[in-house]
Amino acid sequence: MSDVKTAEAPDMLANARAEFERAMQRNIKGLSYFSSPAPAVGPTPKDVILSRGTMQVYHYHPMVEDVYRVPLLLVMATTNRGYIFDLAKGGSFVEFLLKAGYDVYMLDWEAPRADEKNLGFEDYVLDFLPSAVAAVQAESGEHDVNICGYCFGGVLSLLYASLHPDGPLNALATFTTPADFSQMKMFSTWSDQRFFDVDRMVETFGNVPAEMLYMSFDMLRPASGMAARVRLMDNLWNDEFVTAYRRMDRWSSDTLPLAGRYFQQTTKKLMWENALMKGTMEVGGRAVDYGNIKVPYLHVAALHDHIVPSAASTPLVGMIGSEDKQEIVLKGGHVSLVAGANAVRRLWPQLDQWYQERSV
Amino acid sequence: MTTNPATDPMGFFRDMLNQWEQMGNQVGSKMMESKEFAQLMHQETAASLQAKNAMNEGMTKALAAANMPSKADIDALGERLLAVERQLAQIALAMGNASAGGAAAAAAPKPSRGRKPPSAAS
Repeated sequence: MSDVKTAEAPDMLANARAEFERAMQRNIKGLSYFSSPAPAVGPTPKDVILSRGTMQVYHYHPMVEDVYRVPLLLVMATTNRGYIFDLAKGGSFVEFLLKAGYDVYMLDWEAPRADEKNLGFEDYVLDFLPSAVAAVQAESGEHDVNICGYCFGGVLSLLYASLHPDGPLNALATFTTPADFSQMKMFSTWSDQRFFDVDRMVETFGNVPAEMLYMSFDMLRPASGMAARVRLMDNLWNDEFVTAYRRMDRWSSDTLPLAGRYFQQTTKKLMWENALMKGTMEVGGRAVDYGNIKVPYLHVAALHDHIVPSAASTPLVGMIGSEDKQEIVLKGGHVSLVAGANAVRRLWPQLDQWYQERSV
Repeated sequence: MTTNPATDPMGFFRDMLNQWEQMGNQVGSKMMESKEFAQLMHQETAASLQAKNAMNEGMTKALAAANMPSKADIDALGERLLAVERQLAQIALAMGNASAGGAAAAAAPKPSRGRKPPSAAS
């Protein structure tokens, strides 16, 4: 008994000393935290090859002399900025892909302007995506294009793929992409048709304000915001933690407004009608059938996804018409699947491995 | 670095924070998943939308009385500017393709596109 006590005493002393040091560092670094600007994001050099209203298409500068034949187009979700794929040098998915030999493009979004409130699915799926693909074809000189869609970017990519079965899409991967919207329980309750007057909201605002969307994402995990801020205070002594926190915090609070009509369609067709599961989805008067997608397809789900739980994305692979199709489930959450230390270890190498042989 | 939680003065606090977060998320989510919460939330939203609409109408009338442009007028101007911007972008793109684009392409050689997967090399 006394042996245990003597062994614990130096341990306790060392821990207390370490905590004292950290407390000092917290005070010193806390001041610079509040007085310094947020760390820069999106460091990988790129050109804007197409810009039209809310739509932006980037071409990242290749980092190797010999790239895979088929260019790769990343399609970002319409609610957030694409720099989640390019957060920091050494921690950037884009940089990882470039170094692995891909010719990388991104379809990213700016906040829709007031006059873009009438944009709808048909604009995103039958105009923006085909225009982005055409820009990639022109820039790369290749006919075939591979696509990789994140979250709702995945939904748009799937809608595009199903309505353009004759190409030029060569292979498609999506991650954290919902199909069965009734399984997104919280969003389903909040958008309950009996209480939620989506037409009135859009009539009043035009475009749906980013703050409202941010708040609804935040409410999915009501205690996590506060806990994250306490953890930040606890780790103020740790520069690496603070920089990573600030980058991620900047991205998650940098939510984009949504075009009013697009939001109406999402609410009515996907949330209320669950049209993808019922087979009643249409875009611009054209019926959507994921069975038309015959190109290689991969879906990656996150085990702890609080926004798109796996039950919402599980039916996807069964709906796709391709013979070369699979789903993998990786550890992580909706965001940690694609960015940060977890993504570097898990998702990025998996995607690289999958695209390699489908990019020649 | 691994520390013995029994002797780590902050370890207890960090464990508590994790548990509090987990519990808070569980309880909060359960409460917000209820129909009652959704109803209440949308009642609040409807009230604020009504207030915003009334405010918009009032502002429009006040601006009209002062012979000032309303938000709708500014939006219409914005649309016309956007149309001009789009046309300028198209012209710039066409000119760029014809002259500067060619020069830039010559300055920055494009990579070759013959890369094979590592598995094909072995």
